[in-house]
Amino acid sequence: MVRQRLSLVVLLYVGSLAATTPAIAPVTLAENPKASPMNVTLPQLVGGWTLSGPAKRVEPNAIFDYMDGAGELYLGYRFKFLDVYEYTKPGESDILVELYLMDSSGDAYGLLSGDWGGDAVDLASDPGHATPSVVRALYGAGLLRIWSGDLYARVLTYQESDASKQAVLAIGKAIVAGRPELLAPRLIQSLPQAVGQQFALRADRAVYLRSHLVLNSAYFLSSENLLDLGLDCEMAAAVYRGSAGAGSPKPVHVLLIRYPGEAEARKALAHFQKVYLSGKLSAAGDRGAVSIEDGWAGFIRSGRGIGLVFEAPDESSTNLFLESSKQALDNVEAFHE
Amino acid sequence: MSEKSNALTRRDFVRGTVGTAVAASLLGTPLETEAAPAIKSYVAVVRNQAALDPGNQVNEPVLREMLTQALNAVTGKSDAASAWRVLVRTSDIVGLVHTDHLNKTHPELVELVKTTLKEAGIPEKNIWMVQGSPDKVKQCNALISLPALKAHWLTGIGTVFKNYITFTGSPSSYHDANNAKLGEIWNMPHVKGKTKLVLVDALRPLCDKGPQPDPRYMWQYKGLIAGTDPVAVEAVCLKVIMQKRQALRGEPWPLSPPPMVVEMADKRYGLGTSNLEEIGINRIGWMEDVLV
Repeated sequence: MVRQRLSLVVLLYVGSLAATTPAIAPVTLAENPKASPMNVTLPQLVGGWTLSGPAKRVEPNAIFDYMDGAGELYLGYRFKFLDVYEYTKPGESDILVELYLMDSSGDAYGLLSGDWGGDAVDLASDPGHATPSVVRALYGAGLLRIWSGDLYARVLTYQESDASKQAVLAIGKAIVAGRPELLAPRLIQSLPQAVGQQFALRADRAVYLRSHLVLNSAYFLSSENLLDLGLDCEMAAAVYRGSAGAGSPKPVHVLLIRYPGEAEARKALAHFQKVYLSGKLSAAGDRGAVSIEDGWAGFIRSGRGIGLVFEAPDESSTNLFLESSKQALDNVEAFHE
Repeated sequence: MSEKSNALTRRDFVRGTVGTAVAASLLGTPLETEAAPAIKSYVAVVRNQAALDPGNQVNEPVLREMLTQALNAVTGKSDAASAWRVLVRTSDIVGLVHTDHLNKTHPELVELVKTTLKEAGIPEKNIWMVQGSPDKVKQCNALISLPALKAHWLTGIGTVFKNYITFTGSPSSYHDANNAKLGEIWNMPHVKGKTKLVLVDALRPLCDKGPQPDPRYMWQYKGLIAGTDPVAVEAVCLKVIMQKRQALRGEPWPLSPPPMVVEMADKRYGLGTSNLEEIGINRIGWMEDVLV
């Protein structure tokens, strides 16, 4: 598996991640192309694979019938519905196309951000034009994942070949054709690229999420939803790598959370303090840093935003992270209002 | 400040409040301890380099040989028919429980189990496919669990205990954080005591992002993992998954969330042992990258 490390500049439209645009299979549009409610028109024929029929629509209340055990991931974002298509070709593995319509571009981005592994591909540009400025699609071992506005897509072949890869990428190009390219959520953009002189953001570990189940997949805090997360919240979960002089080789974990209002943020912070920092705080407050079993933990609230720091090597670095978290949260707030 | 809460937190894992296997999966700490407690359960790990071709097609004669080796390791009987007769009676109604959804059990394995059960004298009419049917399970005397090995984004691992989720008639009640309680299904009256063998399809496991298939994280392990202690089998499966993750990334890659279902199946539901130091692993066949 080839893995390319993303840098923050990728997320911020200033990137320089190299990727070679592979050859794309020729496509034939359907005779009566009918755009789905997602404004996507899939090709009828692509590289010898034929679209086998109309979409199977999966509504949120039926998602567990389609994918028992995986539906929570999509319901953890603001999911509207899923359309499933299949392409078949004699002697070749089928190609599965899943188009998830989300409530916002941020929700679709969040699904992509759960795993930055794979090769970045630029589906919107002409063949030969390399170097996507923003990572919107990742391909690896037969699976193409796409963030395209409010759409998240998975295009999968179980048995990868040169031909199936070309077909998968051609389908990906059709999916994004004519769709808007939007920015990453501002909370993600607000993550500082560096904290102090010693800590650098690992953009290939930055996840945008709303649900505590998704948080636990990125960074396990508790079996309980002790940050009171929900679909009306948003979080950027980030990892910072320490330099040799940072005092610890362990990464530092940062969570930036925005709640619907200040009251919700206050309540969530109190919940977190009571459960997670039980026995460590003498009094509640909006800012603090304490030493716990796996390093230093810190918290800060600013308006409706909360910043949390975990596994920092010492108190001073924890405070650095808290300052940068507050600044990031305040910047997002200033942009929105 | 303090508040009573039933929540398990990251701090509990760091403090060692929960078992070593589960904590190790989250924290990347060593699994082994210095003490060497007595072996309580045995698990067979059978592998054959020729089990799959490069196109992931199953070599059925090789798979048959592997099944025989697994059954031999579990029962001590040298042929499959004799081994099955140790595990089930010819008068039993035997329910086969395969994974039929998202990273399915290879159908060749399911068919092979059926075939060898028939060769052991179990009438074909008494071999039932019972996945998804609690009513059929109620009528079975014996169950053979045939899950496929996979990591699970919500439970850490989604193999042995997850395989019986439909037997409750209410799978959704085990979604979200309730996944940790999957072990209780094995103690339900219509399920308890019926599982005679857990035979995990580890031919091509999935070590991340399950249950949705993601070929980036699937690899040809070419193995079967078998035992009569479901917790021990799940614990060995967990170690295979963890070791593969670390090998893929070349750095600790915690399994998150931690697979609390394994810990709870042991400590709360008493279904077996999750401590790898108390599990005897019988490795048979191809040893390259065996991971356990």
